[in-house]
Amino acid sequence: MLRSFFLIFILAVITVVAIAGFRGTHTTKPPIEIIPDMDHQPRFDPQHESAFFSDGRAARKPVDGTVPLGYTLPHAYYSTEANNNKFRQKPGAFSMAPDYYNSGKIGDVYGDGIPVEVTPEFMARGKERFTINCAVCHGATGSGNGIVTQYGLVGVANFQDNRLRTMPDGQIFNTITHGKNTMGAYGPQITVEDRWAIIAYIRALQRSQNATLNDVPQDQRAQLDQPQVTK
Amino acid sequence: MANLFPKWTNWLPLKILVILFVLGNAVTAGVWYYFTPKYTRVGYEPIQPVPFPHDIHVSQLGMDCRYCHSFVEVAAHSNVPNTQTCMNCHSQVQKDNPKLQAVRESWKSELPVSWVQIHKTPDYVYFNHSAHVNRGVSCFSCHDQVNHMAVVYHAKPHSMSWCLDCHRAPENNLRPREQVTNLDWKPSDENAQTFTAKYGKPPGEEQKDFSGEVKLTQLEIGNTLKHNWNVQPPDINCFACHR
Ligand code: HEC
Ligand code: HEC
Ligand code: HEC
Ligand code: HEC
Ligand code: HEC
Ligand code: HEC
Repeated sequence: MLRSFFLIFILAVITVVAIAGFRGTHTTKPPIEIIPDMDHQPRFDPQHESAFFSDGRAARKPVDGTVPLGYTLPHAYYSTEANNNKFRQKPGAFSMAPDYYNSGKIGDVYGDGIPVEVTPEFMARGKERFTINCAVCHGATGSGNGIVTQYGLVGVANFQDNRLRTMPDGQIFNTITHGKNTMGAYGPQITVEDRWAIIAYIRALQRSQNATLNDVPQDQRAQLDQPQVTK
Repeated sequence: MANLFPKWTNWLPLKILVILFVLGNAVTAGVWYYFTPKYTRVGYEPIQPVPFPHDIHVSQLGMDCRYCHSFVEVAAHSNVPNTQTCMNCHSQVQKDNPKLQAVRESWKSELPVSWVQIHKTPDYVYFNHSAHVNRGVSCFSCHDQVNHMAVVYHAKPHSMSWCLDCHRAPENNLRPREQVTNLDWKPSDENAQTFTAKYGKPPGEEQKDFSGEVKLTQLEIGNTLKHNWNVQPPDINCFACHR
C-alpha cells in the first residue's frame, strides 16, 4: 500500500512540476493572480486604455481653447503685474504663453538672451538635460556627430557652425519646442526652464570649441604653457 | 470468534499518518513555492507589438532612460514613450524594418502603440517613481538590468515583502543621484575622494583615510547617503503604501 502511494505521489509531483514549471521561467502568459481582490479597481491609470471612447484612450485630449495650467491669458500678460516682471510670468512647466520666456519670441521676432539667472547649478542642469536629450544626435560637443549619425540619420545640425553660433537664443528655443524639418519637437518632454538651461549649455559648448587666449582668466594663463600631466 | 481486524490493519494508523505527513508537507511546499509573486510574476515577458530592444538603444547607442521615460523623475508614473519619440530617429533610421511596422502605423493613424504593461502593482497600492529615483534608488534595484534585455521581462517579484526588505535596509540600494540611470554602475566605480568630499565620510568611519586608492563598498556609500539625505522609507506605516 505505501509503495503504491509513493509511486502515485512521485508521479503526481512530476506532473505538477512539469505543468507549473520553476520560478523565474520566461513566459508570455500574464501573471496568475491567486487572490485578485481589488487589484483592478474601476478607475484609469495613466496611459491606460478605455473601451468607452472610439480612439481607445482613457486620457482625453483637451478640447480646443482649453487653458493649460500655468498659462496666463494673453491680455493678462500686458497687465501691470506682468510688466513688473519683465520676462517671467508665473512659469508653468510646459506653458505655451506668448511671452519671451515661454516662446523665445518678442512679438514676431526671435529674442536673444537667457531670461533666467545663469548659475553653476543651472549650467549643470543644462549639461545633464543636453546629454539626455540632444547628445545622441548632436554629439557630446554639439558637432552634429552623435552616435545615431552612424546608423543613417543625416543632416543633423552642427552647433559649431557659424549660423548656429549667431542664431538668437529664442530661435533655438523655438526649435526645441516645435522641432525643425527632420528634427522632432521636444517641447512635450522638456520643461521651459530646462530648455533655457540647455541653450545656456549649448552656448558654453560653442565657446569651448572656439576659445581664444582672452577667454582664459588672467591668473590661469601661465598654466597653459605647462606640460599637461595626464593621469 | 472471527478476526474482525486482520493482522495488516495493525500498521494501518501508522501508514495513514505517514501518508498524511507526506501529503501535508508536499502541499505546504507547493504553496510555498508556487503561491508567490516570485513564481507568478517573475519571468513575465509579454509579446509586444514592437519587439523593442533596450539593449540596442541603451547599451549600444548609449541612450539615457530619461530620453524615453521622460517623466520618471517628476511623476509617480513612469511613462512609456509616445510614437513621436521613436519617430525622432526612426523616420530615417531603419525606415523599412518590418519590426517597426506598428510604430509607423501609429504615426500615420495617430493612435498610440498598444504596449503591454509588464510591471503592475495592484490598484490598492500607492507607488511613486519620483520618490525613489530622486533618493538614489536605481532602476536596477527594481527592474534589474533592463539595459541588457533584448525584451523587457519582470525580473523582481514586486511583492509587499520585497518592498519592505528594501525599506528596512535602504543602504543596500542607494547610490549617488547621477548614477541612478546608469544600470552598470558598481560601488567600486565611485571615486572615494570626490564622493567623501561631496557627501562626507561614512558614519562610523570618520577616522578612516579615503585619500588613497580606497574602494568604497555599497554599505559605505549607502550609509553615507542615507545619513546625508535622512532617508527614512516607510516600513511599519501601512498608510504610506495603502492610502
Ligand atoms: C533625433 C535626433 C535629434 C535630437 C535628439 C535632437 N536633434 Fe536637433 N536636429 C536634428 C536634425 C536632424 C536637425 C536638422 C534639421 C534641419 O533639417 O534643419 C537638427 C537641428 C537642430 C537645430 C538647428 C535648427 C535650425 O534652425 O537650423 C538646433 C538649434 C537643434 N537641432 C537643437 C537641438 C536641441 C537643443 C536638442 C536637445 C533638446 C536637439 N536638437 C535634439 C536632430 C536631432
Ligand atoms: C528609446 C526609448 C527607450 C529608452 C532609452 C528606454 N526605454 Fe524602457 N521602454 C521603452 C518602451 C517603448 C517600452 C515599452 C515596451 C516594452 O515593454 O518592451 C519600455 C518599457 C520599459 C519597462 C517595462 C515597462 C512595463 O510595462 O512594466 C521598463 C522597466 C523600462 N522600460 C525601463 C527602462 C530603463 C531602466 C531604461 C534605461 C536604462 C530604459 N527603459 C530606457 C522605451 C525606452
Ligand atoms: C536616438 C535614436 C533612436 C530612437 C529615439 C529610437 N531608436 Fe530604435 N533604433 C535606433 C538605431 C540607431 C537602431 C539600429 C541599431 C542597429 O542597427 O544596430 C534602432 C533599432 C531599432 C529596432 C530594430 C532592432 C532590430 O533588431 O532590428 C527596433 C524594433 C527599434 N529600434 C524600435 C524603437 C522604438 C519602438 C522606439 C521608440 C520607443 C525607438 N526605437 C526609438 C535609434 C533609435
Ligand atoms: C523602487 C522600485 C522602482 C524603481 C527604483 C524604479 N521602478 Fe519602475 N516600476 C516600479 C513598479 C512597482 C512599477 C509598477 C507601477 C504601477 O503598476 O503603476 C514600475 C513600472 C515601471 C514602468 C511601466 C509603467 C507602466 O504603467 O507601463 C516603467 C516604464 C518603469 N517602471 C521604468 C522605470 C525607470 C526608467 C526607472 C529608473 C529611472 C524605474 N522604473 C525605477 C518600481 C520601480
Ligand atoms: C530598492 C529599495 C526600495 C524598494 C524595492 C522600494 N522602495 Fe519605496 N522607498 C525607498 C526609499 C529609499 C524611499 C525614500 C525614503 C525617503 O525619502 O526618506 C522610499 C519611499 C517610499 C514611499 C514614500 C514616498 C513618499 O512620498 O514619501 C512609498 C509610498 C514607497 N516607497 C512605496 C514603495 C512600494 C509600494 C514599493 C514596492 C512596490 C517600494 N516602495 C519599493 C526604497 C525602496
Ligand atoms: C512599502 C509599501 C507597503 C507598506 C508599508 C505596506 N504594504 Fe501592504 N502591500 C504592499 C504591496 C506592494 C502589496 C501588493 C503585493 C503584491 O501584489 O504581491 C501589498 C499587499 C498587501 C496585502 C495583500 C492583499 C492581498 O489580497 O494579497 C495586505 C493584506 C496588506 N498589504 C496589508 C498591509 C498592512 C496591514 C500593512 C501595515 C503593517 C502594510 N500592508 C504595509 C505594499 C506595502
